[in-house]
Amino acid sequence: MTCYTGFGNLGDHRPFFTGDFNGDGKSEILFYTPADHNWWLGTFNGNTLTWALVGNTAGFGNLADGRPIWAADFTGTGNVDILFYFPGDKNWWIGQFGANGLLTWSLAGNTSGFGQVWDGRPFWIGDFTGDGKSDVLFYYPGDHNWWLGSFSGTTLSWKLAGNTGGFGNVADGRPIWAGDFTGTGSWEVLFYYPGDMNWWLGSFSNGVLSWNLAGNTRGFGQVWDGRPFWIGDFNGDGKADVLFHFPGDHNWWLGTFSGTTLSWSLAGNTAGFGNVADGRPIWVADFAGVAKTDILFYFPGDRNWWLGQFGANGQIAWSLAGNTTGFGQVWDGRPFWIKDFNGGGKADVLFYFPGDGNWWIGSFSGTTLNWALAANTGRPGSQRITIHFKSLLQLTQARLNYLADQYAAMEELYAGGGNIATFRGTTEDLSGNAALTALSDLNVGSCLLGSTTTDQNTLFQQRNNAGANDIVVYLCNSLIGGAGNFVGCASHPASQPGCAIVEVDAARWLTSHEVGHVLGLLHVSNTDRLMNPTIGWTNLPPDLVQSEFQTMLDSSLSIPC
Amino acid sequence: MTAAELRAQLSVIEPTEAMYAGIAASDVPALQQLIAQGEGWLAARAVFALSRVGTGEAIAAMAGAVTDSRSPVRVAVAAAASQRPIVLPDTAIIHLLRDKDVGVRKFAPQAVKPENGSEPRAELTRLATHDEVPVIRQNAAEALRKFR
Repeated sequence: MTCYTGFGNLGDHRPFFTGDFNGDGKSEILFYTPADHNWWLGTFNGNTLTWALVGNTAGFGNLADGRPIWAADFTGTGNVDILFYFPGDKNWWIGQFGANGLLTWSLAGNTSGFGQVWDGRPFWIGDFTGDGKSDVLFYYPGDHNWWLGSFSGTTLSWKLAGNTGGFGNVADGRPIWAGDFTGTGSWEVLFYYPGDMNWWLGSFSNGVLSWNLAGNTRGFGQVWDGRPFWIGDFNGDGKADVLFHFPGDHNWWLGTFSGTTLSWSLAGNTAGFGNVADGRPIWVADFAGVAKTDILFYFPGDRNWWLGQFGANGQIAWSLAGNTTGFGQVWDGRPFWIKDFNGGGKADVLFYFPGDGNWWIGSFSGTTLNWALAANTGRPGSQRITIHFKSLLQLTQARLNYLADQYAAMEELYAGGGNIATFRGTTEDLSGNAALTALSDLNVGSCLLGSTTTDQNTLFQQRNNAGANDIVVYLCNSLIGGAGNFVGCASHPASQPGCAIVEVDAARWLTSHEVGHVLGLLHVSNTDRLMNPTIGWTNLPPDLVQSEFQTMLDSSLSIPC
Repeated sequence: MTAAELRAQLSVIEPTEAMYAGIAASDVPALQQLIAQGEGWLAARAVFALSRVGTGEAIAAMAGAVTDSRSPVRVAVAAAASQRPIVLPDTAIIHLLRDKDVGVRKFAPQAVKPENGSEPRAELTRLATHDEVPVIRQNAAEALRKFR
């Protein structure tokens, strides 16, 4: 078993959404945790990702139960909203981010009249009416009707947009895409029918869907044979195009609209890359920031990243964007997201690695993809320890920051080679307890393991919320012993594991050192190592050697996950 | 030693007497510099180092630290004077015994030595009977017993 600190393993398929939820002009990343029903929003400041709790939907039950959830600007505020439909009661709920940064929910409507709409029928989200708001479109194979749902405020109203009984069942597996193919500002629906190789474009006018034969690709043979297709404005003309790659001859073909007519042009050939449709990831977005959709792929074989950009001649030019051999194999199932997260005006590549809990953001400078560590949201371990902080000093923001940094340093160091997940327990301010005031300047005596003073015996009884094997770190004003003032002391009464520290700005690993003692480590002379008895560690971060990790793992305070 | 060298030598997490090895009377100015410029914990360390030097100049430097704005430094003066065979001036002792900080008063009673005058003893008596903190009353009462 593996246990994680922080948010836990975010690669556990909980739902994630990306978009500009707070209207700051760049994209955020939002996730929902089924275990506690919390919603967390990750916002970038430059390339640094920070998280905020933005809501809790315990009242809705488990939202990750297979119900559909979409993220788009349904209400036209400029902020991306969250919309979900609950098959149980057929209610539609919309969640909006308010000025306070929190997600508030409104009942948008109920579609009991339709019967059960979450029955496998296809849905599309897009601005089909051209009013600057995203709409919900669905097709019902049972009667071939198309229904368009649009928002007025937070109310979702439905209108019959059309019927395609004449086409037979269009939800028969044929590809159907949505986008602004004609550049009118309203999205259309485009489908290809493998049976006759016709392409049909459905356009909305006053909410009514009308269809035009856009073209026929019999000359290509059967294109719906598993080859990859992408939709994007590849040529930068303000209209959505259709791009496909044919593995059979390695050609890339671009389909563009003139009015409602789709015409095709050969955009390039990548025989030199071998078969790029071999399962490697291929993303399309405006990575270069020139208002055109580019193609980015990563090849797991050599770990190269290649960027394809459409030139004025309609041909794709490929550039080696980088190599991530240093990361190891990144195409291992970890999640990736593509959006302009850092506000650079270009699409970025964001990934989370469950192996260490790190988030990395890749941004383009020209055609070069540069990576930066964005955050860590919890590290894994095979065993865990739990740390509680109790402060004899008033917990100001500066002290909270100090404790957070002490914890972060320990969490990272212990996980790094030791496979120990350091859980953060509670943080308690004991400064208001008059009976404990005199212990803020704690007499630690000789500070030898197994030997404690009356002060220590009294203080270490303060174990609110701490389990028997949890370690409590007490923040004191000073620690007075026979040989002077200590900055940390790990001697503690039996069955009350803990240590005491003071504020030392230059000693980021002070708590790590003391907790190391609590877990059985002894001093060493090498200044590169954590258990060197001074705060003058060299070659930061300080090291723990494998035998020390083993000692920590062998401690009864380190619990198998 | 320079202040930087002293800082490195005194940067031990859990100090032992060995930490003070080689610190001599000539180091008093550098220790005073650490008190003036160092973080609270390091300034307190310098106070303990001064108590090991124990010369008149060192004791004067300790006495000067009783008005330091950082309570860990004043606590260090009280504790160091309690632990070492040194006598602080009465004025310094009285400062410590009247300190607003509980931690300072907690360690200060044992800093009163037989060589100190009547005023520190009177203050000690007041603490033993009137301080609001029980452990300070206990420590003061215990210190007074030495003089009986």
